[in-house]
Amino acid sequence: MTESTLNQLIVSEVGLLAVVQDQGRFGYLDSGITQGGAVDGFAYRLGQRLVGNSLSAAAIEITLAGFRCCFSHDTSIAVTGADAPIAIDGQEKPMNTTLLVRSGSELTIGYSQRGVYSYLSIAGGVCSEPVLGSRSVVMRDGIGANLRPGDRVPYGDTGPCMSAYQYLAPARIQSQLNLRYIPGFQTELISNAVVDAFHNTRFSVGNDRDRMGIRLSGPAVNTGVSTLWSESTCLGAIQIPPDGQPIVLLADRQTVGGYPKLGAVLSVDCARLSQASIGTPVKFTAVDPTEADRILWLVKNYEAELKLAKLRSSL
Amino acid sequence: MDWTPAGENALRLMLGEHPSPTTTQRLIALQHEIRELLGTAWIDSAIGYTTLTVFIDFTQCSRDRVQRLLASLDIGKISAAFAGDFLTLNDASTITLPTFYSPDVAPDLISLAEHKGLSLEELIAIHSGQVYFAYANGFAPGFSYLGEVDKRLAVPRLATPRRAVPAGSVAIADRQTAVYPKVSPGGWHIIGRCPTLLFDVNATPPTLIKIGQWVKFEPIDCEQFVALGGEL
Repeated sequence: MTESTLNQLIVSEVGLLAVVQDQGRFGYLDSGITQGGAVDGFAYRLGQRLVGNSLSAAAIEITLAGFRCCFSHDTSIAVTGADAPIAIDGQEKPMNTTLLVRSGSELTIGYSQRGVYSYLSIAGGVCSEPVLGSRSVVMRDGIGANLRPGDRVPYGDTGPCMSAYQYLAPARIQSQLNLRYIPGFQTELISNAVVDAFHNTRFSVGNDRDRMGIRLSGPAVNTGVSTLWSESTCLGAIQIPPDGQPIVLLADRQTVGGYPKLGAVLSVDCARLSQASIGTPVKFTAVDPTEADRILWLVKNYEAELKLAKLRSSL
Repeated sequence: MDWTPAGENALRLMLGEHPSPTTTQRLIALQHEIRELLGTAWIDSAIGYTTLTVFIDFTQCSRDRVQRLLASLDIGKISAAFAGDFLTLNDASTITLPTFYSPDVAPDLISLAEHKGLSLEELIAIHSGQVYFAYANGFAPGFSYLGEVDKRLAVPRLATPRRAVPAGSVAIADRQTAVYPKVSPGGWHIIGRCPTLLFDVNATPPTLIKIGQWVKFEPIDCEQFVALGGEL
């Protein structure tokens, strides 16, 4: 077999950051290996569904800015997540839709108008070499590498999808956020007055943000708790460093930490927060674990029953 | 046992206020038992200094059921049954980390010795003269929190963390010591450098030091450091 028979996407522009991500890496926290995975899990899974992949197939996560690539073989793709203009061979195309690309076609994803993370899903999935059960790249840990212009990314040889779909729902990216969180064990150490003030504060999304976490700004939260014995961190953990500005931890968070935490934001709200632009107002609402279970059950079933409008056959 | 929620899919148990090898060994035993018990509902788990956090898929095993299962565990029995697997101080499994203690690779060695009123030889003898216990792994892949450092060397973190601590740096903070497996930011005091590879994604498990293992540092000279693959 010659190299040319391999299905490859040839990257020519990566913008701010483009990385291969799947649902993340699990079972290695005790080795200090972070979970990783798509920051906006909903947009990532929607993309996989639009191209007929399993929900754990790998996609390319693009941060904010433009991305450009060519495809070696016919396939189907979908772009989900941030609201960014997309075009195939210069022709404008809709987001959240199964799109046919031909061998040699060029895809461009422009600067995002609203939202931060876009997902490029490809039928058959990105087929980079998995590391410890996942294709998610965590460059700071030396697991895989961020994409660079000239990179060739292999993808599955399933060919184009038989049918094309479109997801027609109102925009998910909101101009203000209410983050639901489960209060943690450490709230017992923190006075009710501090917790009440926290609930009544309107924070805003700061500019110090990445896949590890998002720093919020607002009046300082004074937990009265000094550094604790280091312990495991959770997705969405609301960490309060000594300066009192909360940090919500996301997919690439450090696996352990010793800062006081007020609790952890639900994954569905972490996904919404990840797409929020700088300055977006944020408030927190406590929910009890049973309520969280109910919300997650509804979300899971909503996703399973997602109404995808069937378009003409894509071939 | 008091399990409390730590997030939508996490429950956390704290055993005592202060860390000790016995506590960690109990947490390790419990961790094994719970993994078996939960089967496919188990997602991951992590040991901290005094805590065990378990990540669970509550859509596979309901919160009620998990809580009942966890509440029924007898930690005394579980640890007793597991005791044979614990590593002991003088075990062959003790890991020796060759370490080049020198101002050439350790920017804080001299200042720490001066601050503590020790000669370099004394400082090195104290740090390498005991065996340490691995309480937790984290911060970065292959980074192990080792303790407990002799009181005579205990020192608070640097006021301003360094942006880039070189790979292999052996460092101290409070009564903890550790080796930075790769270049990373860090606020601990650097006293030496170790050439041993601590993290390899292709190895099983990928980290050299496992939680509950005993570790000691052995002083080496520059020539040995280079011969072992160390980079100056």
